[in-house]
Parts: sequence; structure tokens; C-alpha cells
Amino acid sequence: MTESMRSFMDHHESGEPDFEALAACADDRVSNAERARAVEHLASCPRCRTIVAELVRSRTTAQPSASWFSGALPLAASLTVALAGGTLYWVMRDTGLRPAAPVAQPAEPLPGAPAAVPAPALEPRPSPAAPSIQALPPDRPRSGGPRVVGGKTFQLIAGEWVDTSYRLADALPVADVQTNDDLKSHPALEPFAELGPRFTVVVDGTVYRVTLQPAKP
Amino acid sequence: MIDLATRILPRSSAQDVVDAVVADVWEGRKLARYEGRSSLATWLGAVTLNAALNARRTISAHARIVGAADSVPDLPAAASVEVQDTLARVLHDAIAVLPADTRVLVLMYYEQDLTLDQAAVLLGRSKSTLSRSLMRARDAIRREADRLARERYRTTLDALRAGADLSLLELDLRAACLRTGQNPVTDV
Repeated sequence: MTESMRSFMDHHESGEPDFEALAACADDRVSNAERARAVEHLASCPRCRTIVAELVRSRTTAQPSASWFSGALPLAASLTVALAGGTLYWVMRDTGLRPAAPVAQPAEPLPGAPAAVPAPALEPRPSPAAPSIQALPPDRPRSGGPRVVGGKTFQLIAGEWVDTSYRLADALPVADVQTNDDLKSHPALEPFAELGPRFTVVVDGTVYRVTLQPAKP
Repeated sequence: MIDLATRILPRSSAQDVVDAVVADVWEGRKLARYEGRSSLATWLGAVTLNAALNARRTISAHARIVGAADSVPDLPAAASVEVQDTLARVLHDAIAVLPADTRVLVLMYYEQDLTLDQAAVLLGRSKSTLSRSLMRARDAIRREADRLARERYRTTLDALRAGADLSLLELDLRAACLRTGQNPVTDV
């Protein structure tokens, strides 16, 4: 353990965390041993937990645009080259042009040699469909609100919109809704569909727990 | 820096904190301690967040003096305040006996609201590993909370949760982390 990590652990005595040790954790610039010490400390220190969590959150929410850009650039370059090559091919085919390839032509056929067989014309092959590019969704927030939908107020708890009027102790009957067909069979839930695939709502004395499964490809 | 500070404080107070941090760093008092073990930007972020937490503690203390109530989230699982407190305490104590790495995972997920992807960066493990660890942690918490409920209150976790669906434990855990902490950072 480095001296800095030791001071990080002892900050309750010194009064101030070792900011660099916290930042190094968030930057993932710590050794396994240092990480283990840090985890030990974070388990019992809410302040350091908050600092590290916010640093990690700010780093990971700032990164998607950069990583998207760095990943998309080579892809865009490849697609451009492929498109240019394809266009050139079609232009040359339609105009009868052929690339000037250095093909050696025999000056005279040797007596008795079989006549040269002309190469078959190249047939254009259907190019494989370009892969569809789907942008990765940004990190979905896991808490927030309140949000008013269909005259009801919802709070986002652990990634799920929960009707604020919902109280487990009320012991209301619970109906699980897991497919779109289920959802359509409950017209009363229609106003809340905009909440997304996971929400809990109390309607007419029944708790509807909607956890729609993603459609299988 | 201002974005980080506004995660802790209202924007007007956050701006004051950032101004103070910049002045502090500019005068060299804090910068002299920077050794280059992390990126400068992340280090500045840590300094800013700590200053913002200090400011929030001051604001909270002032609010308590003038009588403003701290907002404590409701546990969706329970009705009365007494049952909410009991349930929160049981869940909190069940989390407290987890091994340190599992406890940090649970707290980062439920208390700090990190995603598994973000926790994976911090804990140096894959998202799938953390997902399995979290599942096992929930089971362990449920068992321990039930044991504590029987031992201390001669009841069960089921009963504390009004006999309702235990698959909703996740909602309780999040609320319990925030409730028992009572703004944990202000208590440090």
C-alpha cells in the first residue's frame, strides 16, 4: 500500500480525504491491492463513496459521445471507401471502361496451342446488405421524478416508475403485465405506456406491475 | 466542476463553491498536493465534490436549526413510520454484515444509484460478474433481514413488508439506503 493510500484510509483523523486517491480510483489507475484497500474504506465511508460515485458517473456519462465518435469514424471511412469503390465499378461497367490492368498478351499463338478462352464477363454480385447501425442507448437514469402521467404522479426508483400512491401495506391485488399483448388487454394502462417498459401503477384497486420483456429478434 | 457541484447543491450555491475551489487551487494551497497519480480533471472534481459536500452539511445544519425537516423518502413497502423505520433498520443492518466488496457494490447501486456499468469501472470487475454478485447479495440480505426480524421483533421480513411480494425488495433497499443514512454525507 502506498503512503497516499494509507492517508486515504486515515482521512477521518486528518479531516480531509486524499482527493488524488479517490480520483485515481475513479480513473481506474489503482493496483489491485490499492483497489482492495479503497473498497474496504468505501464500505464504511459515505463521503468518499459519494465523491467516487459522482466522479465515476461524470466520467462514464461524458464518455459515450467520445467513444461513439471514435468507433464511428473508422466505420464511416470504411463505408465511404466501399461506396466509392462500388460507384466506380458501376460507372466503369456502364461505360464499358475497364481498369488498365497490365495483362501480358501473347504476341502470336504457338502452333498447335489451344485457342485462348476468353475470360467470362464479370457479373455484378449483389453486395451484402450493409449492417444496420444502432446507436447504443445512453445510460438510463435509475432515479428521478416526480413525473405526472395520466393524472398520476410517479417516482423513478431503481429504474422503475412507481406510482406514488402505491403502498405495499394496502395489500391490493397485484397483476403482472409482461408482454405487449397483456398491456393491450388492459385499456386502463394505456395512458401510462409512455412511462416505458417498467412501471408500477395502481388502477381501480389493483396494482399493475408492468415489466415488458424486450422483443426477441 | 460546476456540473459536479450542481449534483450536490443548488446551482447558486454550487457556483460559490466552484469559485472558492478555483481561488484555493489558484493560490496554490491545494495544487501543491497534486502528485499526478490521477488525471488533473478528476482530481479537481474530487476537490470540488468535497467542498460541495461541506457546503451542503453547513446548509443542512442551518436548515435543522431553523426547523426545516429533512426530506426522507418513503419506503413503498410499509405504511406506518414505525414499520418503515423498523424495516429500514433491518435492511440496513443486513447490508452492514455483507463482505466489504459486496457491500460497496450494493451501496453504489442502491445508495449512489450507479449503474452496473459504472460500478464495474470502480470495482474492476465485469458487468456480468457484478450482476451475479448483486443477485446473490439480494438473497443474502433477504435471509439476514428475515433472521434479524425474527430475532429482534419476533416477526418475519414478510410480515414487516405486510406479507407482500418480496420481489419488490429492490424498491425497499433503495429507500432503506437513503432513509437510514438520513443524508449520509452530512453525518460524516
